[in-house]
Amino acid sequence: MHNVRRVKHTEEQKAQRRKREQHDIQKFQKLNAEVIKRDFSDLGRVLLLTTQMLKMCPEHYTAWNVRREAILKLEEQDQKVYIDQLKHELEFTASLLPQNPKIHWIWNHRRWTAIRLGGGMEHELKLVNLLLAKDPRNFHGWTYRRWVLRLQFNNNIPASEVEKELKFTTEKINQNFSNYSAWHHRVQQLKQLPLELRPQLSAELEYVSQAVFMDPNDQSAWLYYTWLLEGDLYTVSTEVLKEQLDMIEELYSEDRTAYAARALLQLKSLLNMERDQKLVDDLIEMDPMHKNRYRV
Amino acid sequence: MELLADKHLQYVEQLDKSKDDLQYWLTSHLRMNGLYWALNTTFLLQKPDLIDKEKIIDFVLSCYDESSGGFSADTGLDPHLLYTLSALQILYLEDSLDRLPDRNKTINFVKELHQPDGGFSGDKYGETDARFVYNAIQSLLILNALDEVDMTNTCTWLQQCQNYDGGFGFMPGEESHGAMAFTVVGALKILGKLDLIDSDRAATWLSDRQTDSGGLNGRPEKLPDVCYSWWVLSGLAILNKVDWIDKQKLSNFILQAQDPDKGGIADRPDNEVDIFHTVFGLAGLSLLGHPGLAQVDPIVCLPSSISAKLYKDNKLTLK
Repeated sequence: MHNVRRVKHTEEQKAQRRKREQHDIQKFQKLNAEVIKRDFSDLGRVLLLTTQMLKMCPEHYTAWNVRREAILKLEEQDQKVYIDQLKHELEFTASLLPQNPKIHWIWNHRRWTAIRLGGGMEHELKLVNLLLAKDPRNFHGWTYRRWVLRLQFNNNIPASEVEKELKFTTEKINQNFSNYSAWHHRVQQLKQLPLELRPQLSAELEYVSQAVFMDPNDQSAWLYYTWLLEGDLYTVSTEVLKEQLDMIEELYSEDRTAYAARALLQLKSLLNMERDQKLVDDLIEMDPMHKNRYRV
Repeated sequence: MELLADKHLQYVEQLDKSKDDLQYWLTSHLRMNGLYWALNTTFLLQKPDLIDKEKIIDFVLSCYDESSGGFSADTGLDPHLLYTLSALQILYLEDSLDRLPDRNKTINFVKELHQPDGGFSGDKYGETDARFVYNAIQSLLILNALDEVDMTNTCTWLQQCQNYDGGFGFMPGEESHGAMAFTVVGALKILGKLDLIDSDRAATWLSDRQTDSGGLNGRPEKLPDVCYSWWVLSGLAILNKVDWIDKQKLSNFILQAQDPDKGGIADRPDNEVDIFHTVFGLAGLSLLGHPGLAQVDPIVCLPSSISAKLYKDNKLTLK
């Protein structure tokens, strides 16, 4: 259970709730018994029963399995009915996801459907956009987004699409720069872009600096900043490192935060400068929870 | 707040007496996992006989799927790796692995889920992620059959789950998530390939999960949650870096999430408790060296006395 406040119920309230729930418990047991029978003599009935079960309990993974088996039997009988059913599956999962955006089984069923339907993936991206508007950190949504793009382009995503994705991350980050999921997606896109289309390092540094200056206590932007400096993707010259050192020193003189101090230590290390013990001491004072790590 | 051991045992005892609650039925997909969590709770609280041994083994065996060799979440449901590992853990905890109907069949169930890219899917319907890779590896460990699967590409797959930030995603290229520290680091440790990852970078990301409240979160800028006192802390423990966080503050956070009336532990203080957060809260406290608890093994989430036997069976030296 996540995010459910503890409430004390009286015995009377508990008894009332149990009375209320009796009907649903019976309904669940009846549906469960029917679903696990796997009686495929009437496929329409199997689809109906699994619909009822999954609306009541979208985590009933066996109901999803039985449903898929029924749909595959439809395929043997009538290709058109089968395709229509797959289209219906998109609607069905789209109706369940807004209330249950973290249930793996629903996303899995949608993947299964999307693979079989093939074709354009605009409707898939549309759904993901909707869900990410509701919860911009939903990692299921981000994972599905990357999966859809790989599926659509058979693992060979054209640069123009990657550029679109890069723009999408800019949009999301501009809405809330604390959205680390969007920064992560940005890294994945940059890694896929050919060198000539990749934004300049200076532009990226300037972009992330805005976030860092706006809230020097936010971990998300600092993680991206650190990644840029490490030169995993970009070649970072001594000149750039020195510029960054000046900039972060200025930030640190105005607003002393642990993240800024960590960035300074990183920059000094990348510049082969001596370990700044005063800075380490300050860092330990600001962030004593991690003192043993800083002492190493 | 003190550790309310007796209350937690009471909480475990009443768990299967809630069949009048709709919630009990709506969570049937978690029944087998829930039983492992409950049994492990009693072991950590050093009352391993609290749950009736024959009753629990009967339930586990009622979930065995004869055609595949796997186990389901509840009687009549379909087999899946998530439940097969819990079933094997329960049998091993109860020293009853000999009750397994057909060891080779269960080994085959796991083997057949091995994917060409090195990952494992959870069942024949597809979904692949690091949870199932871990499920497969610990299952094979309990079955003493690790050498029956070539794990070369699995090691590479797991290695690729580590991100530039040091954390681990559900799959290669996916955002780092605290829960995947246990699965990826634990799996590589069992396979003897921990050197494939950048340990210092991992421990930095993992220790950065500690928030001002003392609790650990699962991703940057998210709320802390007691369950990461297991998923994240076990990773740090395997990497020998538990002291990279403030242990006292984390202990306090977990203890404050206890329900002083009915027992059990919640995701955060003042929230509703459940057995998932109860076992992982206690396991976290055990890793922190809290008195009154059996020592837990960070690699397999079983009491260290039990895992020592497991490693001996497999002729492994993991410590």
